[in-house]
Amino acid sequence: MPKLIIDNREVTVPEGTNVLEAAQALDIVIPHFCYHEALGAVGSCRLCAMNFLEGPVEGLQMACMIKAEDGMVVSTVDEEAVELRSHVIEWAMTNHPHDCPVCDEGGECQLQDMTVAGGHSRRRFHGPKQTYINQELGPFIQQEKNRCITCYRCIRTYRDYCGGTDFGTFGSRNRICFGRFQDGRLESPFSGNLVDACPTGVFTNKVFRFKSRVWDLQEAPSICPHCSLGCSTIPGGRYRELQRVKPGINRETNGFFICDRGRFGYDHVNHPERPRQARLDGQQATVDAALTAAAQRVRQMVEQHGPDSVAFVGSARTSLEAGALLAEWAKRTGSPHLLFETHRERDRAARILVDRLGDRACSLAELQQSDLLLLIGTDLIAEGPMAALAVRQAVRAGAQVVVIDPRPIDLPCSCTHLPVGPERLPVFLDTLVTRKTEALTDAERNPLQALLEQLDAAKTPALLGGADLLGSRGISRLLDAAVALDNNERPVRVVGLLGGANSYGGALLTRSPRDFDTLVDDIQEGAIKALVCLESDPYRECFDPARAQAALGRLELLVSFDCTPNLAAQRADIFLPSRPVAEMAGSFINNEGRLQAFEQVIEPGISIRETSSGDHPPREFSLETPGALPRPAWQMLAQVLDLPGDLPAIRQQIATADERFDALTSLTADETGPRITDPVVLPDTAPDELPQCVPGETLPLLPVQGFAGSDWLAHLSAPLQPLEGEPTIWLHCDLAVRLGLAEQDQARLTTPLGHCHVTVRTSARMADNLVLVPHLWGTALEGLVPGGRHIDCRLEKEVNL
Amino acid sequence: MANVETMTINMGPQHPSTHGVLQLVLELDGETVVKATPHVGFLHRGIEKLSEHRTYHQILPLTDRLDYLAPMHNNLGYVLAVEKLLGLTDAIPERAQVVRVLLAELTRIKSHLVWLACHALDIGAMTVFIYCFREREHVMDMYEKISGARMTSNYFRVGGLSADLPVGIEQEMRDFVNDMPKHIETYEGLLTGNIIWQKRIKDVGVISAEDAIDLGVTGPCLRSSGVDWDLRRDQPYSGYENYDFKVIVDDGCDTWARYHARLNEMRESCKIVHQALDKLKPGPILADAPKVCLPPKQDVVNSIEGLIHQFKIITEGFKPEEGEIYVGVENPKGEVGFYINSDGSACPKRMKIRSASFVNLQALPKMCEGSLIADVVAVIGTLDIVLGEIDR
Amino acid sequence: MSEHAAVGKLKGKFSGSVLDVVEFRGETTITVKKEDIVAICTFMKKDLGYNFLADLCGVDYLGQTPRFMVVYNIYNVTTKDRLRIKVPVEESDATVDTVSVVWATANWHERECWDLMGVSFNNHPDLRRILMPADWEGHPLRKDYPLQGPGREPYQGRLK
Repeated sequence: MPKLIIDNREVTVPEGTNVLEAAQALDIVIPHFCYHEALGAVGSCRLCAMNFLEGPVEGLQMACMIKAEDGMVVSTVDEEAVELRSHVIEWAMTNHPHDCPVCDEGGECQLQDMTVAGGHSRRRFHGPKQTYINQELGPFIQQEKNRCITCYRCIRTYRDYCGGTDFGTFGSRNRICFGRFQDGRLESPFSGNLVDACPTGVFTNKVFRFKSRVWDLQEAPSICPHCSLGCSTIPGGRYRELQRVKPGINRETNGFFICDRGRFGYDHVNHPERPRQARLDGQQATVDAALTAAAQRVRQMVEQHGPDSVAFVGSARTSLEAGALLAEWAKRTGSPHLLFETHRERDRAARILVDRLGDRACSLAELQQSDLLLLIGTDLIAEGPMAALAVRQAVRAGAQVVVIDPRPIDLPCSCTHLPVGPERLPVFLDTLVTRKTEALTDAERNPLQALLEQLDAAKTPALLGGADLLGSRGISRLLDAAVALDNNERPVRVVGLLGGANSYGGALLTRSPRDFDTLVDDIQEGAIKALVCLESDPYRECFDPARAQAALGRLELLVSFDCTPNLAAQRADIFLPSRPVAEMAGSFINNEGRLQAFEQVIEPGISIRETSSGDHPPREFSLETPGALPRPAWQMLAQVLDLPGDLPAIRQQIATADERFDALTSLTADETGPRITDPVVLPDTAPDELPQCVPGETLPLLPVQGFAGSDWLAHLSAPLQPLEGEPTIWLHCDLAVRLGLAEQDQARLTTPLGHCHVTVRTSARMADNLVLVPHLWGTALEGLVPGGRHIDCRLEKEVNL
Repeated sequence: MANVETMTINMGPQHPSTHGVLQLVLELDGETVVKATPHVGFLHRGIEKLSEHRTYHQILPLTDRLDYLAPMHNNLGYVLAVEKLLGLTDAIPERAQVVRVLLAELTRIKSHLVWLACHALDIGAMTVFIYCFREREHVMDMYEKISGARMTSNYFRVGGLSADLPVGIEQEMRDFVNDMPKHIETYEGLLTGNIIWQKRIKDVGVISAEDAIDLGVTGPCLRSSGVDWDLRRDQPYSGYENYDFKVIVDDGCDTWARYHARLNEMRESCKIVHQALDKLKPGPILADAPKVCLPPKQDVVNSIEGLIHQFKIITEGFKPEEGEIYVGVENPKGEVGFYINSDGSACPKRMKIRSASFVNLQALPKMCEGSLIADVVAVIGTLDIVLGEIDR
Repeated sequence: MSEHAAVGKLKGKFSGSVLDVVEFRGETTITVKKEDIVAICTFMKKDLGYNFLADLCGVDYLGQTPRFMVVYNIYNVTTKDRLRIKVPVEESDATVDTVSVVWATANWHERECWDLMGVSFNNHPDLRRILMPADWEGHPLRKDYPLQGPGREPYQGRLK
């Protein structure tokens, strides 16, 4: 631990810290541009000069490039250093355009801050400024090359950290600029991070462009609701509209960045069809009246038909507090039917994972330390994009990655990919547990034996699996494999990619050993007559949507709490408008068991720009804010249960009733939360239903998640529409040839659910004899649910009439 | 013993003689005032609370609206306070200091003109009102040429001035202060020898020196009770130590003394203006502190550095050190003080405005009790209160 | 400097009460215990000649203990010296003895401090609201009092 003196103050820092960070430990902030904690130091901006007075290094040096050593004496306020910094700023400003009034970065612009801090205020250069021609980089990133100060942060973010390949450096000497090889949408799913990485306004958020100045935004720390990783975000809203999302800094989980789905998926909050009125039997009603009616009718149902006739279903996107109160309601009615996931496989997988994860849990930061990662049955970019980024950092540090999956997995790093059919995955997992290779084919044996050797030799191995493809059986076997591969020196870590932001929390709260699929049977028979849905969609997000929709039509009472216009919200007898994450405070438990709180950013309401067209006569005024009726789900449930309606009281209540959630009472949004590991009510066993990929008359269909279009909340977000594209299917090249199809052909997909026009994509890196269908909301592919009932299909080339 | 019944009447808040929204609850025994209780707060706009949510630059226009009859003085007091907080007091350039003194004294003349006009009008002399406001128009025209606004000038800035004086204004100022003594003679001619005027204000509103100091009275009211104290001479600011002027002290303790004191102050102000105009030399008008002072407009428009500094200073504001200071200036009405407590952020943690009128008004009951109700009007006029300052 | 002299004399007479002395930009601020404020102020006025109370106000340090500070800016007319005395006041016991017995001018200043900040003054001859209406609830200048006033949509501008 080197000890050094900075500005006459002593500081001791961990080995390997650079002097810039050491100064920051003393709260001394030196102007700098190109240094970034996540991107490392390159010394290209020359701004962080300090005068090293004594010690192993002397003279004017760039503090970010020098590692702290014992005996160093550094001065940050030395005249020479101050003057040098002022000259470096002057040099950087030589070509900077006069853009501040029209530049989005203003207010969070590092260049502005450093110019004022560096002390350069009088311009001496009066010559012409160098200009460049901008490129079109897609719907997310706006580029203004003139503002560049060549700090190389964009390159280091996009290429080095995020693994993108279509963005690079052009030019040389004093004509350097950064751009894409040709105009077009940036391909990386992490391209939005350019906005945060760039210290000036070269890359700005095109969706947010010109909407607000950043100091006008109401911001608060929050958690991204789009996948189970629970990255920290800072959403910003103004005038009753959520306008952008910025990554929050959390060194345990997402680090400094977020994926594009989290960055641009916020617009579901502003969706024009978002239900904001409570409804009672098809008529608009007040929230209070609807709540009273809901409580009353559920009670009546229980009185008339017994507690078994009511089922309570939450979801993975509902907050922990709302889930706990739903559980309380279920307990009071005596109903045994309490679930937090309508999707059967995700529910079962989540519960098994939560039950057995324990100390094997692995945060994204810990994942970056792994030296061998086995991804089995998981497409990280679709199911947990930031995990893919963590895997890449591990690879950059020298790790090996092996992927066993039927899909043409795209990772932002090199990996060894074994594309096998989904029915082979359990066989592989068995081999990892038992080390017996009899069940393997010849082609599979060698790679798997090599893999076993690697796993044994690895110092920090990690296994990653996804709920959709592995199911509960697969996740259970994955955990068995982890146990089998443990050795005395180290445990094997496991990362499970679950269905939603609070899947882990829902698994903890679930009390029924049954899954929703069996509940659908009961509903069909009439044993269950009432269903209370908390922010879930039992019609479409389940194992067999067709059967579920038929059954749900037989319900006598459907109560739905939601903030999105899904089928449950539309068909509910009693509907209560709830709030999305950005409009309330609450907490989630992410896939590694970390309890994290989020705070309220904005109040609900129809955005001001929509409440008047700007004509004369001027808009009407009222005492109520339009569209402000939605309430947090936990608050409405508290009212049903006659509990006090403020969050601290509710958290206290939950912690008292269930000691697993003790940490709720002292939880704040800024800290990294504690891990919760506890036993769970396990699901009953159920038969495996993985598609068998054997050639035949019909082809097995494997619906899978895609990066865009599969997450319901992200689908409702307008900025992400350009990513969704047309319905597509993926075939192995050989299969395509056999079917007479080629890349980009139009085909007709026929399933028991109907026909669908699709575009054909082919790949050599996927399993043969399989039709991969990325799930796409809002299209005919909507009914093909990842991890759902196995369906066969036919595929024919579409004939143009 | 006679049974004394008093009648309580209400004077104000809407009343032509209360110089604003001031409510006086008077307990009268016949026509004699037994007890006078001022009620203020009708013009309370929460300037101090607003200041806690504004950057130091943004507070400046709010200070115009305190004593709105002497706006440049409030600006001056505030700007001096912030400069002291930042440690910039010695860095203010010469020209800026001279212009500040120049405009402060013109403001003093302007404020005293209003005092005389309203005081005389309340007592009955309407001609004086018209004449004084005619002279005041000249000052307001000059204000408009210099700062763009007739009344709420917002002209000074932290570090100096917002813009230089327009060409030709110096001659206009010289002409004004050359003519002013003649006008003061006219007002004196209308009032001083006037029996009615003398009867109305001699021995009215008496307050002794001890009472005045104890009650915190400042300004001409204090000096007319015999206390020789003027912040311009005793705690000089903005270069006042380099000017030659008399501090008008009078032993009279009554309204008559205050009347003469203020008239003579106007004459002294004219002298100071002459001296200031002589001292005026070309030079910079802003201190060299780019992190604090807004850059000149041509820098903002022509260089990115100026633009960035303007952007950051306006939107984020500069952040002074943690600490607290109190600066008082000699407003025409008395001592106006700004107590600024900074917590190191861009907005002050607490800004208290010690306003002269607020404290002077405290002396009203002492000056009124025992006098006739007609004298109350004279006392209000002589105290020269401005409700904007009292209520903030 | 006479400022230091005053501080020295004050420390000599009230050594237990002086909590802190700060010099900033040429101004001296002395923090003293609130129990002794009347005695100290009388000493300052009678013995040290600080016969003028220029200003009296309260400052709200929400989040710190003590929550309030009452600040007295005093002035010696003869020697032309300024001095500042501060007393910390806890939220739980937001009272200070009145100094209107020392300087009559404190009367209205203390009324304003009570009205806007909620610090009440013991033995004050007439402690009632001065700037706010008599039936107003709350103390507006406190940091937890909303800027936009009670019962309105929150202020959308800069909050700190």
